[in-house]
Amino acid sequence: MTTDHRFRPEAAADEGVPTRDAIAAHGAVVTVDGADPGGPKGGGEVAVSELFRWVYRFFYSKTVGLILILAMAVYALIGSLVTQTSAAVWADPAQRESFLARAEEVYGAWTPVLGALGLFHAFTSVPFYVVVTMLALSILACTTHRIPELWRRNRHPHVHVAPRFFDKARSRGSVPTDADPATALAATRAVLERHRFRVLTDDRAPGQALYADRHAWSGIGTVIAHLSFIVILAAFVISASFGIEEDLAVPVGGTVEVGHDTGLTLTALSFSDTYTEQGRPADYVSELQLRRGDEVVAQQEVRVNSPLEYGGFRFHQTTFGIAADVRVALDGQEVFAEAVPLKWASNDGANAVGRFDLPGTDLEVVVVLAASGRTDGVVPVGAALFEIYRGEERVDAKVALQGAAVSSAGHDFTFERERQFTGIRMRQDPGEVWMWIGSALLVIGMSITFSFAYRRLWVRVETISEPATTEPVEGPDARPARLIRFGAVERSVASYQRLLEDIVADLDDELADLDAKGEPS
Amino acid sequence: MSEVLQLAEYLLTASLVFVVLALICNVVIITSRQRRAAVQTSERVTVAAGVPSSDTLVVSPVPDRSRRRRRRAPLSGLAWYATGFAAIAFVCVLAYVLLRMSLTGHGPFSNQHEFAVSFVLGILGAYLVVEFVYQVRALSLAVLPIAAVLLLYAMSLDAGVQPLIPALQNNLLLTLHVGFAILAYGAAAVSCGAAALYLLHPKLRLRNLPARDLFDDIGYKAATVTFPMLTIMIVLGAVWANTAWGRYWGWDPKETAALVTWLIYGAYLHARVTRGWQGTRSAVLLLVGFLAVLFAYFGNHFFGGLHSYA
Ligand code: HEM
Repeated sequence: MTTDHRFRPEAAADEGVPTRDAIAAHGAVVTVDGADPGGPKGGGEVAVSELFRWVYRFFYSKTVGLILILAMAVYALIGSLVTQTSAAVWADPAQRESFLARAEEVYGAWTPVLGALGLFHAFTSVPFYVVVTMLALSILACTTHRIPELWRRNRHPHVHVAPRFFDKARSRGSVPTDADPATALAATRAVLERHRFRVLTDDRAPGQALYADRHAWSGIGTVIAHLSFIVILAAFVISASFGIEEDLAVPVGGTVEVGHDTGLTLTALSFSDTYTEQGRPADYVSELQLRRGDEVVAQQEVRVNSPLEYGGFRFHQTTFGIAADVRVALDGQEVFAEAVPLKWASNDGANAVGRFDLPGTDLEVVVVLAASGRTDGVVPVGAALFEIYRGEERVDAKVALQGAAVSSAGHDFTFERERQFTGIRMRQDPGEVWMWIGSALLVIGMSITFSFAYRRLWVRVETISEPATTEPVEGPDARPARLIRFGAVERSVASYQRLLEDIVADLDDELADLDAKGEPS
Repeated sequence: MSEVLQLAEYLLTASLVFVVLALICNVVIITSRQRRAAVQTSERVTVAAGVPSSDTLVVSPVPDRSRRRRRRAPLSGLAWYATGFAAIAFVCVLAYVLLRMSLTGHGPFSNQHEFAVSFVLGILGAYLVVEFVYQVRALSLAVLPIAAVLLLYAMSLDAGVQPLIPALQNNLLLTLHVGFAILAYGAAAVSCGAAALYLLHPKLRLRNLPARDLFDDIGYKAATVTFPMLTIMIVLGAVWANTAWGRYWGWDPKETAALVTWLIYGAYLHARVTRGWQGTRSAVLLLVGFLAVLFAYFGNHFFGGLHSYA
């Protein structure tokens, strides 16, 4: 647990340490012989590179960074409050229609507004991409902007300070000694090195001054943490944009196609749900089999915490229940054959209800069956009611007996049978690996930043000038000949105070030891 | 098993008693006329008189070398009891958590009771570390009451052991996830306590209160523990969600609350490092951060979501 105190340019300036701004300002002054120092006269003389510099300055502005982070926070809020759908659903006009029809029940007149702003698919919407990209650029610019300084502090630290620095430094210390300057500096160096400081000599005050710092390299931690966040943002965008997520209702004993050009089929060999005596769920498990053609490529018992993984796809146990096997044909061609999960119950509990979007149309089909053990619903046992909707409008409704097709909205609907299904969520997420890489880097970068605080201090040995009028005093009241002075620009905080105290006390001990050894007794 | 659990609950009662005792001792020490009980400045060095401003620190060695090497003066008198009681309270809670873990066979994450107790464990642990490192007992005035209230809350909840619902049957990841949450939240409580004392400092007319800036420093240091721990907690949560639900981030309300908490502590650190925020403004951010922690923690009472198993 250590602190990273910011180098305060304004504080340092009056303490005799040149600020980084001052250094930067010097670097920026370019004098060209014969050029008019008054600057460009016409608009045409502004170099193209100025545009890039302007963009760069824009992105490393902390205000811009803050606004972008706030914008991200707003998106986070939207993402958790507004019902979200996938980019794939949004891209398909028919599916989008039926999604919006359902959304309207919740958001009413706001639905078109939310839709137009892209808030139903917030994390795949163009404004979000813009915000994320700008945030990534902002972090990149902020980090880039700091790299030269971090490099400098490690490789070319500011070794020299003016003597008056030691009168004004935020944190100061001093150790009196009679040792000669060389011995005093050697002792100081030894103590500082024992405290894991890197000690450099100040060539502008040879034999008189030292510079010392600790963990000057740890700025790399900040760089890693910030760059890792860009990786995390990218991972999130990749997941939202290219990830596949599909809920499959696999009839127990039945098979569904995995799709997505995999040529795979998924079979649920069995499903069981067990409960405790109090009726709390104890375990859900599906025995799943993945096949390519006739060849079984994977088979596993799938529980909530142990998904089946194959070929970049994962199959998770999410739900289970009763489904209706439904077949739909158009002109004799089968267009839909799936187990439709009956996820809802009618208000009186007498009916079980499911829904699906009819492929290739803007129609939504609601399937209603009698709930198990109930005979008082709108649908007789052994039959299914098909209700066909276009948006809010009910186009048609037909009751179909098991196994017999009924015609409606130009299609033939058949209710095959009722059976149990297991709800499997299929995922393929190319962003995942980046998310873990980014997270690991974030944690590593942060740990470096917070565990290896950058510290530095300056040391100067000063000879105390004897007042001319007094006689030199012998004995314990003798004034020490010299003062070893310490100065640091860090603010006085407890942890730094303790470090300085330790150094000062250790140095005093060290000098006392030297004294004891050196003095013939 | 249930008799053992009932007996174990006495550990919580004991812990509460010791927390209150420690708090009382500390109140007496801090308001005492006798002497500066809280060892503030090290005895190895003197802090020069006539310090120009509170922002400046001047150190020089103590003339008497024999008095050195004793920064942590041995605890004596009431201070010994105060620290002892706090330590016993910590040990009681730790024993309770370990006992429960050994009985249930999983980490303390199956219900709100277990998590409340773990929260207390984190707070007491973080408090003891800071008291030891900084030699500051005034912090207890703000931190121990939080622990006491949470203990009372934990004791009011159903402590029964239920089998884990399927989503929670992932022992290692969840124990780690909750473990880091405990560290993060414990440090957050300490940094909130320090921030509160920083803000109240001018109003508190207590004899043995350390310098105001010390609380600013403690608040910052605790936050530099909270932030990485929160990060690890969130990442582990994401790893778990990825196996259990097939996605690492789902904008579940509890996840979002954790993210907001993380953003607040991130804002605090950034404001401090890049804007030089210190003192009042940053103390307020720490209070807001801890409110977010509490919100994320109690969140499942306000909103449903996948985390609402408790
Ligand atoms: C949300 C993603 C970000 C994370 C996780 C993050 C993390 C951090 C951390 C851990 C520190 C070190 C704090 C300390 O030393 O006490 C830091 C410092 C800093 N951050 Fe960020 N940051 C993020 C975004 C940004 C952005 C967008 C900007 C620029 C607009 C920025 C600019 C800075 C600067 C200039 C520092 C000071 C570095 C130093 O003094 O060492 N950060 N950041």
